[in-house]
Amino acid sequence: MQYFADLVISGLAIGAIYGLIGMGYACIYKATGVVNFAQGEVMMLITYVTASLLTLTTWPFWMGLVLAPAVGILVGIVVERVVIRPMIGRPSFAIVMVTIGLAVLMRSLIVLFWGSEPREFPGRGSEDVIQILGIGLYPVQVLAFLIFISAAAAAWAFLRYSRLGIAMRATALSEQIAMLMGVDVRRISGLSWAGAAALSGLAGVLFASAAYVGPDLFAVGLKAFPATILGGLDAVTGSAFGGLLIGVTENLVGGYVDSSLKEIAGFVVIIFILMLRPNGLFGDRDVERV
Amino acid sequence: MLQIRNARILYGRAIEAVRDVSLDVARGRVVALLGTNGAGKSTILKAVTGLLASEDGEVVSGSVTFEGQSLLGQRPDAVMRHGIALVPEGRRLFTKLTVRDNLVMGGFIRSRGDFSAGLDSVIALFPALANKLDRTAGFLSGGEQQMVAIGRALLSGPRLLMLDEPSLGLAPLIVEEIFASLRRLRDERGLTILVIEQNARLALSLADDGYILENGRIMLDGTAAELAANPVIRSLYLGMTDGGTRHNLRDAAPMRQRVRWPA
Repeated sequence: MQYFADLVISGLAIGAIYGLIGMGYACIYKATGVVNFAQGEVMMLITYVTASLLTLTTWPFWMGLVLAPAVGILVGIVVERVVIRPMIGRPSFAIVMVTIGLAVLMRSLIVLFWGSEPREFPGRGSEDVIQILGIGLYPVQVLAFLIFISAAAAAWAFLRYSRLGIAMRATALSEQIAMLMGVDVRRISGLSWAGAAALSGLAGVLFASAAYVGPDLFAVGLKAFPATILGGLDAVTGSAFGGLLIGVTENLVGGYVDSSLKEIAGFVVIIFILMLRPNGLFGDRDVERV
Repeated sequence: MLQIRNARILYGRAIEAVRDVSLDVARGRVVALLGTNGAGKSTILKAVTGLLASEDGEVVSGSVTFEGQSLLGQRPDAVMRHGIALVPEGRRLFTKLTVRDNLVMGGFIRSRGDFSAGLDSVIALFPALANKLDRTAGFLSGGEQQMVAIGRALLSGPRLLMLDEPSLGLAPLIVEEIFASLRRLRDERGLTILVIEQNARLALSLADDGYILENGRIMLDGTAAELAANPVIRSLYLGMTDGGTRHNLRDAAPMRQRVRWPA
C-alpha cells in the first residue's frame, strides 16, 4: 500500500509537469486549430535560456520560476511572429508541418549553442525529503504540483470569465465572426503562443531542476502529448487533468509491470480512451440542435 | 452614409459575382437590397465588412466608402470599428458559448459600462432573452438565435446595422416579430439599416428605399413605395397579379429588358 501511494504521489508530480505542457498544446490548438509539435523544443529553449540567466546573475532558484514564464512569453511571441503569422490562412496541415520543421531546427540550434553535454540546473532546490502523509517527497515535486494547480485554475478562470478569454474561445469557434466583433485574430494567435510557451517554460524549469538540463529535454514535451489528447485537444483544463492521469498511469505501470513499459504507457492509454471517447475525456462535441 | 460606386467584385480573380453595383444608404434610412439566390447580395455585404478577402474575393474596381472614408482593403475588425455591424446569414452564433458570452463578444470593443447599458437595451428589445442568458446559444430556437445575433450586433454600438437574410429558415410568426423589432430600432433609435432579403414583401414593408439586384447588377432602384407599385416587381417579386393579367416567366424577359435602362 505504501508502495502504491508512493507511485501515485510521484506520478502526480510528474503528471503536473505533463499537465502544464498539455495545457500549452490545448491553448494553441484551441485558438488556432494547430497542433504545435515544437512544444517540447520551445520548452527546452526556455529552460536553457533560464538556466543560463540564473548562472549569469547567480540569482536564487526561485527566480527561475519567475524568469521562465517571462522568457516563455518572449519566445512564444517571437516564434509566432516569425514562423506562424506568415502562415495564417494556409491549411492547418501546412502549419503543423512547419512546427515539425521548427522542432528539428530548434533542437540543432540548442546543441550548437549550448553543446550536447547535460548540465545541472543552477541552484536546484534543496534535496531534503519532506514527509507528507508518510510519503517522502522532494520540495520541487510539491512545488510542481502547487504551480500546476494554480496555473490550471488561472487558465480556467481566464477562459471562463475574462473578455479576452471569451474572445479566444470565440475565435476558436469562428475566426470570421470573431473578426466581425472587432477581435484582431492575429493578436489572439500571438497570445495563445505566448501563454503556451509560458506554461511549458514553467514545466521545463521544474523538470530540469529535478533532473538536469540536457538536449533530450524535448522528449518530455512529446510525453505530454498523450495528456492533451486524453483530456481533449481543445480543452485546456481537461488537458491539465489528462496530464495527472498520464503521470500516475506511467508510474504505476513502471512500478508494477515493467519499467521499460513506462515510456509507452501513456500512448497505450490514449488508444483505449480514444476508442471510447474520440474527442478525449473533456473535448467538445459539436453542439447540434435536433 | 454608406456609398458603393460602380463596384465590380471577383472571386479568385476570375469569377464575377458583382458586375456593376452602385448604392447609397443615407443616414436614418432603411434600405432593402432584394434579389434572387446568387444575385450577389451577400457578396456586397462581404465587400463592406472586409470578409471578402478571407474568401479570396476582391473589389477590382469601384469604391466602397463609409462617411467618406474608403473601406476597401481594411480588415473586418477595423471596418466594424467605424460603426458598422453585421447580422450574418444563418445567424452564425458562437454556438458553444452561452448567450451572455455571445453578447459579451458583441460588446468586445466597448467599455464595461457601455456593455451593461447595451445589454439592458437588448433585453428591453427582446424580453425573451432575459432568462436565457446562461444557456448555450446553439440550443436556442431559431428565432431566439436570431434575436441573439441581432443583439450581438447592436452591442457594438453601430451606426449602420446590416442584416443578411434575417427571415431565413424562421417561422412566419417569428419573422413578423423580428421585423417588428427592426421597425422599433428604426423608429425609436433612428438606426440606419441595410437589409438583404429574398422575401421582398417583408423587406419593402420595412424599408424606405430599395434596390433590385439581378446577376450582379442593380436592375432597378427607388423608394420602397415606388418599387411596391411597379408592375414587374409586383409580378416577379411579390407574386401579385394586376387586373387579371398574369406575368409569367415568358413575359418577364422583355419586361426586365425595359427596366434595365429606365428613362
